[in-house]
Amino acid sequence: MTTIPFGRGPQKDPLLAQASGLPQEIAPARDLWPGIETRLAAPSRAMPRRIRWPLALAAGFLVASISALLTWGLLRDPGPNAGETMLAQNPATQPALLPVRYGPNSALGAVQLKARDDLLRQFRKQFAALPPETREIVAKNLAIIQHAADEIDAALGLDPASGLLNGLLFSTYQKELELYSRVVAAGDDRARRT
Amino acid sequence: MNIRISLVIAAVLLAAVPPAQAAQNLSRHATVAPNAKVDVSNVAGRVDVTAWDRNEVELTAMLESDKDQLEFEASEQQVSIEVIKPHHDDRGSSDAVLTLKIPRGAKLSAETVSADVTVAGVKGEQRLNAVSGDVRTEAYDEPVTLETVSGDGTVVGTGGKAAVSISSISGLAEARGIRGGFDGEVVSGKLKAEIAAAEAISLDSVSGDIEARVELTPDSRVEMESVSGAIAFTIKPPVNAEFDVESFSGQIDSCFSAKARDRSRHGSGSELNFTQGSGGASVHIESMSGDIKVCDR
Repeated sequence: MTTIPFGRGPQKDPLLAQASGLPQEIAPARDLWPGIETRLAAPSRAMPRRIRWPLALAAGFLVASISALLTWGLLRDPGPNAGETMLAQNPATQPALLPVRYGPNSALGAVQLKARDDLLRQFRKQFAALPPETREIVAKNLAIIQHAADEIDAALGLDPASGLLNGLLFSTYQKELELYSRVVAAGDDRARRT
Repeated sequence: MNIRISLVIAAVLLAAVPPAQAAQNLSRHATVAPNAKVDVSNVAGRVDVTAWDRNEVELTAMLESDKDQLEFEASEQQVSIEVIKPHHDDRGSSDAVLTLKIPRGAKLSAETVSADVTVAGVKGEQRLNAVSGDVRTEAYDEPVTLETVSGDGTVVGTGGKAAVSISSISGLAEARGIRGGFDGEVVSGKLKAEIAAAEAISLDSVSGDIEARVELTPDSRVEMESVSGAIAFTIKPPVNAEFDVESFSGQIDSCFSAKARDRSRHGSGSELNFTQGSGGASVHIESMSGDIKVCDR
C-alpha cells in the first residue's frame, strides 16, 4: 500500500525556498508615528450609529423581501416540463394514465384497442399540464368508466349475446376515447396560446 | 460603512426587487361582415360575449398580468382574439377578463381552460369549449355545441330550432326550452333537459343521473342510455309514442298501464314495450344497472 503524504517538504518547493531567504523584518523608509498620532487625536468624522441603524434595517428588510420573493417564485414556477418529468419517472403512480381494462367477456377488437392506445399516448403528454383539480377529476372519471366496464364485463359473463350489454360496452369505450380526446384538445389549445 | 455606501446598497437592492404586476386595460375594434366568424380563446378569467345590431366587433380586455399578451387579428370575415401567456404560466395564475360585443349573426367559437364563458343574443353557430370553467349560452336557430370537462354547461332555448349538443365529463349539463335536436352526454355529471317539441333527442350517461322533461311530436325520436345512472323521463301529455325500454339489472317503472316484464326467456334483465295513444314518436331507453322511470306527470 502506498502512503500519500499531506503537503510537500519545504526544501522541495522553490517558492518556499526563496521566501525563506527573504529578510525577517524591514524598517520603514521614514518615521510613520507622527502621522498616526495626529489621526488618532482628530475628532471622528464617522456618522453616529443611531443614524446608520435605519439604513441597515432597511437594507436587511430588502434582502429578506427579495429572498422571500425569489423563494416564492421558485416554488410557484416548477418549470414547463416538471410535470412531464414526474410522470415519466413514475407513470405507475398516476392512476389516470392507466387505460381502462376491458375484461375477458368484453369483445373489443384489436382495431378498437389500437385506436385507443394511439390516443392514450397523446393524452399522457397533455395530462400533466392540466390544472391539478382537473387532473383529479379526469382520474376520477376514468375510474368511473373502469367501474362501468367491469360491471358490463361481469354481466356479459352471464349473457354474452346481449345486444344491450354489447351496445353499452361500446358506448363505454367511446366515453373513454372522448375523455382522452377532450384532454388532448385542451392541451393543444393551451400549447397554441403560450 | 458611511451613509453614501449604505444608500448605494439600498438603491441596488431596491432595483433588484421585481416590480409589481400592472394590470393592462385594453380595447380593440373592428368592422366586420354580419356573419363573420369570431374566435376567442382565454386560459383563466372570464369571457363575456353579447350580440348587438352593429357589424362591428368591440373588445374590452383586462389582463391582470403585464406579462400576458392580447392578440387581436381582424378581417371582414374573421376575428381572432387570444390571450397569450408566458410559457411558464400556461396554467393561468393570472386572470384575463374579455368583454366582447359581436354582430348578432356572427359565428362564435370560444375555448377556455379555467375561464367561465357567458354568451347572450348570438344567433350564429356557436362552439364553446371549457376545461374547468362554466359555460352558459342561448340557442336560436343555428347549431350550438358546448363541451366541458368539469365545468357546468347550460343552454337556454329562445324559441328557435337550433340543434344543441352539450357534453360534460363531470359537470352539470343542462338544457332548457330546446325546440330543435338535442344531444346530451355526461360521464359522472348530471344531465338535465327540458325539451320542447324536438325531433331528435339523445341523452347518454355512464354514472350520472339523467332527468328529462320532453314534449314529443309525431316525428320525435328519443334515445336514452345509461350504465349505472338513473333515468327519469317525463313526457308532456298527450303522449302518443312507442316505447322500448330495457335494463339489465335496473328497475323499470312506468306511470302508464303497461308494466315491465322479465326477459329471462330471452336472456337477462327486464323490458317494457308498449304503444301509448296513437304512437308516432319513438322512445328507446336502456340501462345496465341504472333505474328507469317513464311518466307523463
